[in-house]
Amino acid sequence: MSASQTYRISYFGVLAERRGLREEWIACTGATPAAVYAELTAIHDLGMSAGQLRVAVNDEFSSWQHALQPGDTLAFLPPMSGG
Amino acid sequence: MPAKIHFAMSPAAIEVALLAAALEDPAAGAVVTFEGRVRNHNAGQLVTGLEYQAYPALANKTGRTILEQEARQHGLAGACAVHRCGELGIGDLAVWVGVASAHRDAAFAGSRAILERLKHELPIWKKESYVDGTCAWVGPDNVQTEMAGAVERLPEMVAALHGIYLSDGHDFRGRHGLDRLDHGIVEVRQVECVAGMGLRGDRYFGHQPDFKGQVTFFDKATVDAVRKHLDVAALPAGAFRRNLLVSGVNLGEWIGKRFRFQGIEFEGCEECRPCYWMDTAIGAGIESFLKINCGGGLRARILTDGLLRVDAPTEEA
Repeated sequence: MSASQTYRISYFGVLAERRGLREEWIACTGATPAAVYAELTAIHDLGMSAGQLRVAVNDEFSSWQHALQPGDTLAFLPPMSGG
Repeated sequence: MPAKIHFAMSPAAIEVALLAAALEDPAAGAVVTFEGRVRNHNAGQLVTGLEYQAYPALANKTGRTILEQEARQHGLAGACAVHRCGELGIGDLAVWVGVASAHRDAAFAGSRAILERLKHELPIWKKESYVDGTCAWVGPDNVQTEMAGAVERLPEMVAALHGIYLSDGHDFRGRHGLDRLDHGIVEVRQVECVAGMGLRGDRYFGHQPDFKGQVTFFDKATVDAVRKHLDVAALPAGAFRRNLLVSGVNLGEWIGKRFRFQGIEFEGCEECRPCYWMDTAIGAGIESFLKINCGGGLRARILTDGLLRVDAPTEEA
C-alpha cells in the first residue's frame, strides 16, 4: 500500500453544499484526481460521479489522471452556470 | 495589432459606462454590447434573487482565455466581459459583454460566442432563491442540478394550432352584476410564452404567482359545434376569449399532466369551466353546451420559455 499524501480540496456549488464546507485538507492514498475523488465519495455522499464533474489542480483545469504532488490543491467543479 | 482584452469578476455592480468607453476605437465600425440580467422566473418558478459562487483564480484565467480565443477567431479589435459574483436581486446586471470590430457580422458573432462560452465554461455557479422560500443550485441552461442527468422527457401533446388570441383587458372578470367590457381580441400568428407568467401581451400575463390559467387551450371542434348549434357559421373563435385554438387533441386528457407542445413545456391544470357570461357573449345555452367533455377548454401553466406559432389553417383561410 502506497503512503498517503496530503491535498487541499475545494468544493463548489452543489458539491460544497453537500459536503457542508468549501475547503478541507485531506490525507489519502490516491495519486490522481480520479482516485482522490473515489476515496472522497466512499466517505461522503456527494451525489455526483466524476463523469459529471471537471477537476482543476492548482487553479488549472486538469485531467482526471494527472499525477498529483503532495500539497496540490484539487477543486471539484459541478456543471457551470454562468450568465 | 492584438485585440484589446479585458475580463473581470466583480463582487460589486458592473460599471457599464467605463467598460464601453474602453472599447472606443476609431477603426471599429461596429460595437455590440450585451447585458444579462437576473430574471424573475425560471422553469416555472418565481425567482426572488440569486447568488453566484465563483472560483476566482480559475475564472479570471478562463474568462481571459475565452475572450482571447474568440477575438482571434472573429478578428475583433476589442473584447471585454465582466461577470458578477455574490448576491444579486431581480433586474441586476449579471454579465456584460462588449466587443468592437471593423464590421457588424464579426461583432454580433463574436459577442454571441463569448457569451455562450462564459455560460458553460466559466467556473461560476448559480443558486436561485424562490418565492416559496426554497433555493436550488442550477446548472447550465438553468436546469436545477438535482434534476440534471435525469431530465424527464415529457409526453408530446400532438395538436394543430389554428389560431392565437390575446386580449389586453378583462371583459367578464369581476363584472358580476355589471355589463361586460369589450377590450377586443387580437389574433396573432405567433406569441411568446414566458414561464410562470403567461403569454406576452395577454391580460393574464403575470396575473398572480403560480396562476393556473397562464394560457388556455380551446378545441376547434367545440367552436364548430357551437356554430352549428346556433346556426351562425361566422361566429369568431376569439369570442370565447380562450387563447389557443387547437384541433386533433382531447384536452381533458391533459388535466393534471405535464406535457410538451411545440417544444414548450406546460402543465395542464384544470378545465376552463364555462361561466354564465358565455350565454351573453355567444348565445343562449352555450354555458351548458361548453360543460360537455372539457368543452370550456384547458387552463395550463407555462413551464419553459418559447415561441408558439400557428401551424394549421387559420379561421379566415
